Amino acid sequence: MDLNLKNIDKELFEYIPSDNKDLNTVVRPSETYWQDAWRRLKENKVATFSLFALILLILISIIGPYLSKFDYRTNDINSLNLSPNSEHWFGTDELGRDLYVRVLYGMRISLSVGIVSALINFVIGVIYGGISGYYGGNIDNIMMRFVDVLYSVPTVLYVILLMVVLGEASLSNIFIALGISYWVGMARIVRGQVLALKQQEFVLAARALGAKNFRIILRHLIPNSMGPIIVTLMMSIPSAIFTEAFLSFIGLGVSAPMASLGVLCNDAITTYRTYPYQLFFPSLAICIIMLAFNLFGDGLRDALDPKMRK
Amino acid sequence: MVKYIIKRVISCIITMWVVATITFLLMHAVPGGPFDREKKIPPEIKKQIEARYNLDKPLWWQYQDYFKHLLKGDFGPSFRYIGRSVNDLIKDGFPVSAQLGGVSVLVSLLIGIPFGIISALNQGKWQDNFVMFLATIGITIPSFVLATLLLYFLSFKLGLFPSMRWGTAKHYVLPAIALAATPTAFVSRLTRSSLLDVIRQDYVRTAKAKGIPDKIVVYKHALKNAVIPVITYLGPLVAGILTGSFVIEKIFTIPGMGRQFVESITNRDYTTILGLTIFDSFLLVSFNLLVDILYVVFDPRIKLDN
Repeated sequence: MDLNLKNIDKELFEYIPSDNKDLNTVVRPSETYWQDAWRRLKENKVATFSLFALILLILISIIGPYLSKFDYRTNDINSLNLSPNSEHWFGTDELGRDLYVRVLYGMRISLSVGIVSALINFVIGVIYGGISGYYGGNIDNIMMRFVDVLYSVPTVLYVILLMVVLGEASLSNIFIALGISYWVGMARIVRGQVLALKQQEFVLAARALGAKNFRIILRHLIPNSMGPIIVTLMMSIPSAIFTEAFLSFIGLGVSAPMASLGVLCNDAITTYRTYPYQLFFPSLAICIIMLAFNLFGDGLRDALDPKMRK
Repeated sequence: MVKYIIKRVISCIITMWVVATITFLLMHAVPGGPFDREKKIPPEIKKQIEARYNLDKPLWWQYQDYFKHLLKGDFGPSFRYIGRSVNDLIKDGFPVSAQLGGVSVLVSLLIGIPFGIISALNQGKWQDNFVMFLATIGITIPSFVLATLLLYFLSFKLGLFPSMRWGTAKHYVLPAIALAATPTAFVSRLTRSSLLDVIRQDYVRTAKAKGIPDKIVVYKHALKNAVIPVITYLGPLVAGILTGSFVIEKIFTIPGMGRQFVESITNRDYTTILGLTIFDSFLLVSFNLLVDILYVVFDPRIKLDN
């Protein structure tokens, strides 16, 4: 390229007087962190779509069963193992129970397992991580060593052991087992955030004004680390759903006549050659739920925490 | 280096002790004794059985006794299979599981890493979208769903692979695919993101500016650093394959440790659950240790003091 500065026409340049007035005016209203995140989320088509899919799934699992005249527990000896038809939309199982209703109930269970256990591990993780990060020193050391120990063994093993100990495989026991096993990751995230935040001036200011430790943790440190917390929370939902399906599949899930999606799959697997649809519908439901939560979680992470993006 | 390893080994031993203790206490907290059946056993016989397995002794004594044997590598007798010890079960099951697991780890690395490279080098193009689509599918489909789909189409409909028994190379194909799917997806995502990170670094630009061909820059300069996160994933990878095998071995009726674990749960065979959990954790902890050491060897930038 033949670029010689001397050849450029001086006319092309314009003199701007050094008047700083314009520089200090705010052109657009400033966005808060949440507005910013919401805008980024809306721009992400996949995430918005999966958010709608999730809302739809929740609505279907709540309303759907009422659209059918069958319930999940009534056996019907005259309609065993029916293929999908106009009356039984997803067919029936080996006891003549309507699969459509059973799959929707299974979705209900899976969704509530995901959400409730996420909330439990949110509470435990935030308190544990908050205390550990805020107090630091030996308390932090001991608390984190314990977390490290738990972390080095897969959570599924704990959940299985807890389910065996709790005995009866009821829904509330699954909540308990999942809730008290999955908080470890959350505690680590919260601790990291609190550790970084507690050095900042606003914490010092709060302390100078006489705020108690717990107030500082709950009102100042936790709200400021909400972004990563929500992302972790959102990511823990599909893994809880997955673990529940896994547990049900190895025979530790909710007991009959209730059935989660994992139980439905497990029941269907012995007859998958003859009645593949009995396996197909619950499997499809699990996959859709997992996909929606994973994609939405990814989008949420990108929106709330651009640094975590990979 | 030696100091670091010693430190890590000690922390592993502590971890193992905590895990074993927690598991021991959990298994003894199970409501109802291990010999409670639907049909009531006469009290005298029950007493005899409990005395035979030392269950009448105080918990503290049992704990000491269990650990004494554990240190010698003895996991004690199985409560369900009379006359068989948990060690026998492990001896039967472990080689099978280890083979299947090893194949799956290999598959997930050999497919995952190249896919990750392809998608990173074609960022934003169809290859990238395709690989990432596959990876998302791989992460979202539960292994038992994939396993049953494979069984239904490839084994039942097309008859390409056997669905039962165990032994020949053909038997490995379907379980290995089902077991490796999720880890493969993770490995390819990980390789992609770390390679994208590395490619943007200064030393890569320098290499390119020097006129080194793109291929050599990628495979010789960038990839070396890009696989380090994959190495750290090896620990969780093995953990995933280990727990994944519970379901896969059940579906494909593979006589491995995973199936034994599931069976011991349905049989409420507490000593076997206890023993297998401790054995599994031992495998994982030692594998994590190995990975941590490898990590330091591969990446000289990591300081050993921390």
